[in-house]
Amino acid sequence: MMHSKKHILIYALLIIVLAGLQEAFFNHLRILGAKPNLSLVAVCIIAVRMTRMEAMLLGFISGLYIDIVYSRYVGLYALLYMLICVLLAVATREDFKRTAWWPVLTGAPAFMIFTATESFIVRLICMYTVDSPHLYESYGAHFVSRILPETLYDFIALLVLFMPFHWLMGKIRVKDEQMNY
Amino acid sequence: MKKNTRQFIIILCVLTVFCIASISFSAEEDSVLGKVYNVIGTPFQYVQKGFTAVGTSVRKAFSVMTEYGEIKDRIEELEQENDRLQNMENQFDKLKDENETLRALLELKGYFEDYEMVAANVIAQDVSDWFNEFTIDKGASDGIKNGDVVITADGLVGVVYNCNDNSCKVRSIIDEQYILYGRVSRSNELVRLRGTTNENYTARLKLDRIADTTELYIGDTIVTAESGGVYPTGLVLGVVVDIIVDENSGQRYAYVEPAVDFTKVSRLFVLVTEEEGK
Repeated sequence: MMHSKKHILIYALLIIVLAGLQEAFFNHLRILGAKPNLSLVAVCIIAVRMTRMEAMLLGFISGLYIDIVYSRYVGLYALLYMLICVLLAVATREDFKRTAWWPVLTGAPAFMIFTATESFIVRLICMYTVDSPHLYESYGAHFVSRILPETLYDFIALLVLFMPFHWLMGKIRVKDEQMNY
Repeated sequence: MKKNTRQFIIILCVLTVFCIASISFSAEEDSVLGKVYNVIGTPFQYVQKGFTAVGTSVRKAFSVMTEYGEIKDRIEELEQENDRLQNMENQFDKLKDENETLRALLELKGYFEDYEMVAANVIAQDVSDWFNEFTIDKGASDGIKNGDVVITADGLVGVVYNCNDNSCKVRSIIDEQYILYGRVSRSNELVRLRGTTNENYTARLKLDRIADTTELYIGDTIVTAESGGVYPTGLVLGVVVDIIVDENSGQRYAYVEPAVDFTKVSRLFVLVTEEEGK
């Protein structure tokens, strides 16, 4: 799928707006203790429309930004974002890239895989950096109290944000096609 | 295998190896790579500051809109006199809050005579919930250095660990990777604490390695112990809220509710030794 200048501008705007929203509201708006990761949602929304190579670079660069600004271990989110973007791009066939249902459908398992992997790596680092006696005290409780709420919240954010984005991209595509015609 | 696929796999592998290597190197304290990222990260901190400023303005604008509606309703409901009284009461509350904050600060200032207290604001919180750390708007140019202690009027917040010129990161005491020693203020017995918030959202400190002879009760206050100058002693850490006995080992462990409400931390103080502070 080709990305026009308009597309790229909207991708950039989406990321900037969601980063602002995260700082303005969602860092303070917790449900069941969880807050959504809007940067991840934004990156995933864009990644499903991209080729695997583009998605890989998008994930890597945005993850590296998160690492440099927020994270303790530089490279952690670059790796996680890159892999999740590649996973989404690979899982989305070319003729599904413009549908509304496929990205939403792939969002839930993608967020769950991301959160579970993030949790696993962080816990693993914990075991090595401090004398944490076990990986998880109770994985079931951890899953219910952390992984599930984060996944759900991210998924809800995806549902809410994806529809207007999809509608806007459709409008631009129709306009571009009319102009080309 | 197609050329494109081969190229994609090679780049993916290279980036993956780069990320893993970067994680390992940046995990080391004072690593060269960490310093390089600090330099690269400095302009990004300004970008982040911009995001925070925009976000805060939007939030304020929304809250102003809400309050405006409430005030308008009140004006319709109340007489002019009542309105004036309401304003006076608001002013009184504001002054009362300010007075309480200043009192708390004055007490703290007296308590930490050997330190300069640098006031700072939280400008960025961790985008995820895994590392319980945040960025503040003061840095090395204000005399802050790695290892400086961060507090609020309620108690110990954490320690500065990644200091740039104009900002620095603070690792909070509720982080799982944080271990510190405290004393039970009632009996002065030494205990070890660690953060537990990584396991679930309840931000607590876990008190483990409790000696059999240690008397510990729910409601006991835990304060910082001597730490070779890392923390001032006697800083409040929290209150024991739960004591559990492991059925298999018979070992006791307890949970401590932190004195600081980490969900609401926005303004805090960095304790800098006097000669370093500006």
